[in-house]
Amino acid sequence: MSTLIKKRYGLLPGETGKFAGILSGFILLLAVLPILTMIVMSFSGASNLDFPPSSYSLQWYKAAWHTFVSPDASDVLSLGKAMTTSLMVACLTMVFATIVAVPAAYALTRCEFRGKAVALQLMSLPLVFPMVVLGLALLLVFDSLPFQITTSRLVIAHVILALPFVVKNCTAAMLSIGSEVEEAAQMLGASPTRAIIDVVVPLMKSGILAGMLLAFIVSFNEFTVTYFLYTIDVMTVPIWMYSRTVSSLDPTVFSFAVLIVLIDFVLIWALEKLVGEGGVSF
Amino acid sequence: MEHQPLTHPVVAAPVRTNRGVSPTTRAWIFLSPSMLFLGVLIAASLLVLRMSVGTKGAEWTGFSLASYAQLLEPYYLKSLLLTLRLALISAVIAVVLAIPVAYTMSRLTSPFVRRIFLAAVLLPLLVNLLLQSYGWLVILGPGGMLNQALMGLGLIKRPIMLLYNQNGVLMGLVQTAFPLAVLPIASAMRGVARTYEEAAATLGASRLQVFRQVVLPMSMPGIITGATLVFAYNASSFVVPLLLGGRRVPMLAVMVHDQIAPLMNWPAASAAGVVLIVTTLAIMTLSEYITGRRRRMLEASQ
Amino acid sequence: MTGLILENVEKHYGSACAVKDVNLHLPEGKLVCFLGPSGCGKTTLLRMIAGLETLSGGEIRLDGEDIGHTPAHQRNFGMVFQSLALFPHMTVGENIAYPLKLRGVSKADQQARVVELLELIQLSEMIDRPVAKLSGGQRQRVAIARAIASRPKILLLDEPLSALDAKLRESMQVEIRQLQQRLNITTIMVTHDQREAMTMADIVVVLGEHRVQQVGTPIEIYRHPANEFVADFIGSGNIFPATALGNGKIGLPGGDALEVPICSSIVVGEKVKMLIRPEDLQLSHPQATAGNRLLGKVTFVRDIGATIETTVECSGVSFTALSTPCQGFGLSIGNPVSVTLPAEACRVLSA
Repeated sequence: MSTLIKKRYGLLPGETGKFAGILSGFILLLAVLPILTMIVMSFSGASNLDFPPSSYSLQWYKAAWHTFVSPDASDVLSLGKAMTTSLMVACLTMVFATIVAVPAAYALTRCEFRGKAVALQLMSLPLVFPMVVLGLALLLVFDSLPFQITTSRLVIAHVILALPFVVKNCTAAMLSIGSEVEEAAQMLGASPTRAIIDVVVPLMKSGILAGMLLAFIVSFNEFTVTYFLYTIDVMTVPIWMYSRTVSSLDPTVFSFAVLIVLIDFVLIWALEKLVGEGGVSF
Repeated sequence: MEHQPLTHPVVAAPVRTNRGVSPTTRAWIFLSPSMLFLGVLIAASLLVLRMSVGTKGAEWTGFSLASYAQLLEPYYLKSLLLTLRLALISAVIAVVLAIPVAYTMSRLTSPFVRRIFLAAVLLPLLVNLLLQSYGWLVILGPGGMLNQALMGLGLIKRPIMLLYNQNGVLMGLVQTAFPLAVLPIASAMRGVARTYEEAAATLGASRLQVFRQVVLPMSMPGIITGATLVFAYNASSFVVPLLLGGRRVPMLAVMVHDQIAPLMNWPAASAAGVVLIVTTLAIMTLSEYITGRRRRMLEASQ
Repeated sequence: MTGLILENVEKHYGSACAVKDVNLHLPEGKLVCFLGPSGCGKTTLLRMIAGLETLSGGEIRLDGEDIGHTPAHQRNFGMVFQSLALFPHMTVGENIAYPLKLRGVSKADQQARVVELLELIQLSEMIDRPVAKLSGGQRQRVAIARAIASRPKILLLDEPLSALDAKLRESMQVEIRQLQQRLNITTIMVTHDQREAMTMADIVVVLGEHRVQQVGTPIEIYRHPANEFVADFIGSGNIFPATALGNGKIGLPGGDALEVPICSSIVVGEKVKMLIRPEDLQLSHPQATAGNRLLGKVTFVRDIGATIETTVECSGVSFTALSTPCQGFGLSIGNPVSVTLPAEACRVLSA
């Protein structure tokens, strides 16, 4: 009965209509088109880049698996190594970015202090700062050092890149907690530090976890700065893929690509389950 | 039940004064680790600045403005103008496309659809730029999806060159920076309470009018932020023009890289880098000024 | 001197003053209400007593000891926040046990105390329930139980009932008052609802314009308001301007004179503000003006069932009179009517 009435009444103000919905869906489809294309291409049976593929097969996945387990030492080693490096750098980024971001988020949400507006602005800086300049500068600094610290400089760069995301995440989580629970804990006898440990941190668990995931994703996928900073010994998975395709585009890459996109998608899904939209707005 | 004061005192320690650190100091102590990392960016800028006035061969000790003079040559000027133009156009397109998506996102009710939307919006930003460029190569190639579709619709007779020129690069720029436009706009639109739309409707406005005259103006700060982010992000874009433009679309970031490898001309690379930084900062400041004024206007009326 | 003493307490935020010149002595075991409109500084004052805000000036002493510099978590005051601030990640029992846990009380004693308190607030079966599953009134009671668990010296309540609907609010007012009396615990409550203050408080501190306007029992404040602000804020009143005529008389704007108890220090010709409560005005059939009985005209009638409010214009002043249906005699707009202002019901308010 109510749906009948609704149909006659039309849309209520503030609801999204069919038009807006379809338009948005279409635009979003375009936004993920390259990704979808790659996924489809990875199942292509032909060896060219025609789309849609003339036939479908799992040949590229087989080839990719082959590379992984093949007796050809150089290939396996380099992919295995690249994967290890990627994971290590991503995990380190995850840990450091979170350790750095949580107190920052606390300061930005709980404290009133001079220069707060400036600090807020600075937090968004890595998003728009030209990454090539960062890569250039890091190259300048680390090349002139007497010792090599190739992995660390990657981690530093990745932490900087991940900071805006993680800080925004944690700030959103903290804002939703409110400051009165902390004050209540203090009134009940908890010192300010104890209040944070007993009350704020447990409530922020999901926010912190989401931030860590975000940092992981950003680091795992990063290409630009890494491109400036990599060496033969320290290569991440994106760089490895690039090196394989410099001369010609090998569809094997697509199967790896699908794997990465899958990992990304799962992580993003988990992220949203934890914090919802508030944690990823700017 | 009688109320007796507790026999155990709360804390046996002597009473401390409340005057520890001032709140400002405390806040900055918490912020110091992040500021340390962000400081690297500042240091990087200064470093690059210094390098840009060095000379090739005597990078740290020399001083000359030759690199900047070099930037004024037509080749580099063209690159700068190209960069600004592409960044601007991509910002406009991205924002226009982002508005309906942001509006839908801000008014969705079903949590499942919301999650799908958010995942779809975040993916282009987070997934490897390299991979997405490969996807574009497939879409835009002569045998690719777009050309086939256009030929199939009878709009063109022969495949058009979309790759290795500005059009392809532009599409790549818009797609990868799209999330940066959607998120701030969606956030702003969510802030426009539904009651405003309902009020406008009771005053006689149609849905389109409500959108145009109420929601859109009130989301302006978010729209400007989105446009700014996309502009700044794309002005320093590296992977997209490199892979989708080949040698034909020399945006500034590509320039910087070219100066390093193979040319090893650090000062020239730095000079180009400085121009990039200055452009970014200028845009951010301008946008902050504009949104600040609008925000004050909005707040005053509430 | 025992009890809580505030001496010259003030608080500034930059150049803006939140509250100043506060001098109070709050005796033990009483329920004190800080009453005032929003923005008058009452919550700031409460938070300063709690230790959540620092003092810009003055001293706070408890039983002779200066506690102004003691951090909040060492003061051992119980506090119930406006939002209640129950810990969402703990159950009811864990919330109440938290202050005991902090003080190193043994698990067995903690349990015993929690059970005791839950019985007091009649929520014994809720001990393991997560906080989110409670109703508004139940949460209210848990918040209070948690605040008194460690047997604090003073209980602070920050607009505790503002989030409840009217009916629940009234029953909670009584419950809180009874609890306070049973435990005989010094309690300070902030509210903007003067009816709440009148119902619950032993002592009312009226705050306005960032300072204390009056301190006294509810009836004292109602019958003898110190100034126009208090008179206007507490209850409804008729406040009107007049001129002192000497000989215990004042002149109304319309020209008539009234006999009122007036201080002899007030100079003839001085402008004063007068107060008379609506329930003290007496309406009668129209007769000529004589003594304190003025002739006027009805301008508005409001019959709310239990009472009738009649607005009468006489001698240049608009008075509202309150009467019960059995006192009334069917007035409507435009009718002439006589209004008697008994001399002892008229109060001069300090300017």
